[in-house]
Amino acid sequence: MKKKIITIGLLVLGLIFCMPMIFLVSSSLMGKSELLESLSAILSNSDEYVKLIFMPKYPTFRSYVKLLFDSPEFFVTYWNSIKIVVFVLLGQLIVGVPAAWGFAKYNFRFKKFLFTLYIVVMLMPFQVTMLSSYLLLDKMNLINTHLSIILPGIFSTFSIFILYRSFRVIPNEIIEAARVDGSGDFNIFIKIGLPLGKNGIISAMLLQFFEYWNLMEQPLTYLSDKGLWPLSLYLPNISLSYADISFVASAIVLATSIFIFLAGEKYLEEGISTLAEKE
Amino acid sequence: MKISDILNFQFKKQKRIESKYIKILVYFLITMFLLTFISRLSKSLTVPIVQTAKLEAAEIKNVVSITGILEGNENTAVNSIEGCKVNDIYVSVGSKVNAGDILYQMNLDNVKEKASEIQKQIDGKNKALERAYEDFNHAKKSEDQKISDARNAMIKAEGTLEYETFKSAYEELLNNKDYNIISYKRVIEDLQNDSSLQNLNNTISNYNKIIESEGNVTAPCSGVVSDILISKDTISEGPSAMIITDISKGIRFEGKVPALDGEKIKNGMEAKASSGDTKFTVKSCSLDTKDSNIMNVTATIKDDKNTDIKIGQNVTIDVILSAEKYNGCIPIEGLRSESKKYFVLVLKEENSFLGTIFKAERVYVEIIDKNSNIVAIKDNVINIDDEIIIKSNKNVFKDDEVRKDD
Repeated sequence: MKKKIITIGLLVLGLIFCMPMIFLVSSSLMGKSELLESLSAILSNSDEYVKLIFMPKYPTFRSYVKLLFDSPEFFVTYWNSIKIVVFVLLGQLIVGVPAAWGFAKYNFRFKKFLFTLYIVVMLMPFQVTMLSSYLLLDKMNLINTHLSIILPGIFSTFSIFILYRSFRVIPNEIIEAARVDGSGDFNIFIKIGLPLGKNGIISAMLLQFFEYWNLMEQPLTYLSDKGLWPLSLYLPNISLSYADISFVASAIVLATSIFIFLAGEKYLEEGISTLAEKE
Repeated sequence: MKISDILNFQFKKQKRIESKYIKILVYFLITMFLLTFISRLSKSLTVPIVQTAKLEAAEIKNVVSITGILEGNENTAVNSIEGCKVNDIYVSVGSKVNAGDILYQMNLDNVKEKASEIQKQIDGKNKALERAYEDFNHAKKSEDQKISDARNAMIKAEGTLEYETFKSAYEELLNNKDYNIISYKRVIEDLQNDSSLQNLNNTISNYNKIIESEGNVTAPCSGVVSDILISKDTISEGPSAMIITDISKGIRFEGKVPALDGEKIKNGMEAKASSGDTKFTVKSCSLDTKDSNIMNVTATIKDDKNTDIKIGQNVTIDVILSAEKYNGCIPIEGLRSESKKYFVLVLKEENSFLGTIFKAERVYVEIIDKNSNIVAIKDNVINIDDEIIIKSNKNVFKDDEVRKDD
């Protein structure tokens, strides 16, 4: 009985947490007039609340057709987001993974200091480094180019922090054994580090995907040309009169994130769990 | 089943689920790519394609267009033989010919036949004249005989009481002699003065010339063939076969214009052919005698050495009523109006998600002058580099996105 109550309680809580998503999907299937009626509280600035409608009266795919077949602007931003995310993740794979391996498995002077510095940089909010980053990127003639987002992203310290933890749990004995068998450092990294740290790498990449998929401040600061904006800036640019399109666009954005999450769910869970493990 | 198998099975199942979602993600991205193309295609089909013009200096001419025909001042008809077949025509409208050039050929047998008919008519008239002479001579002789007989009778009766009677009879005959033969004389005179005989003689002379040249008809004078009234392999109907215009005597334009427009036209105004560079000067503009809503306009060509001009050609001329030069002019197609206010749609660059796009911005303008082609607008409203929409493949409204025509 007690278990049932807990289960029901959890289901209710789960439903409450899923409500924005349910509302998003149901709104994307509403006609424009029905949607504007449900949002009338926002549009008229009245004291009323927005009506949450879970089942549209007259479900329609008109907004989907409008967005997917008649809004090339949406696709420009969609592919901009994909471009930024893919290049950032590729860069992190090339730069961040070896850096994390180095921190995890090698001892060198100022290692602790450097790692602390990494953590401090990771903890700094964007607003703190915004001006200095802007000046630097401007000096490098990278303002208003995708590189102004991609380049700092490649050297993000957050993924190194996660990867460090996942590499750290690899027993040193295995590495020692490989050394004894005559394996070089690079070989050990490729043949032992990468396979054993796979979960951590994938989870770091997934977390970074969500980070850069939803990026707002950096593009808003560094990209003045709307044609370079990612999807995260397209959605706030849609006025309330185009709310129907906004909900569909959000649903598509969500769909991409969900597919990525489902494809790497196991690794994400395992990768995050390593963060909690004691060294 | 061993525990390890179960564990392996679970792992494989998990793998399958992951690869399934990766596949879905790949299909999703491919779909997004296809939709990207479709949405761009749809956009390119719906965005109006426009042609633009910039402000430029131009002369605005207010003109009245008149359609009419070019005619020669001196025309000569080339005679034809009615009822004869035309074998061939060697010239066309606009051909330049010299006197004596062969224009067309008629069927020789038909011409001979017609000549023979004319000859018969001439013979008939000559016979009638001959007979009239015979009648006259006979009547004269008869009258002379009567007078002679009366005179002899009078001489014989001399000294008798009847002398006076014979004398008066003789004198009466003598006095009436001219009166009695005058009708015969008049018949001769009438026949001699018959112009038709003269015409017939002229005609037969022409026919004989044609027969001598085996049916070929030649140009009676030099000039340009302005009209051909016969056609090949048909029987000629009218008295004239062609019209030859002597262009050295000048060419004039004859046209009609609605009276409302015609009232603005004054003698001496300049005009220009709508196509080509031929210039004209208006010589007269007067109300049509049959229709008071129409005015007849005559204009002469300023430079009739122009080789493009063809007599009989239909042309439209623009009579220039006024002409003034302005710095800021655009084609009239670019001018739009709403609620009695004039405006133009100017291209404005806008930074959008699709890069730099053009939008149609409405700019209200004041008109200084305009005609059917150009409009002059007041300065300081539109910049010299602004591009004004003058044509589009779809209706363009304020703030519409547009694409420039390549």
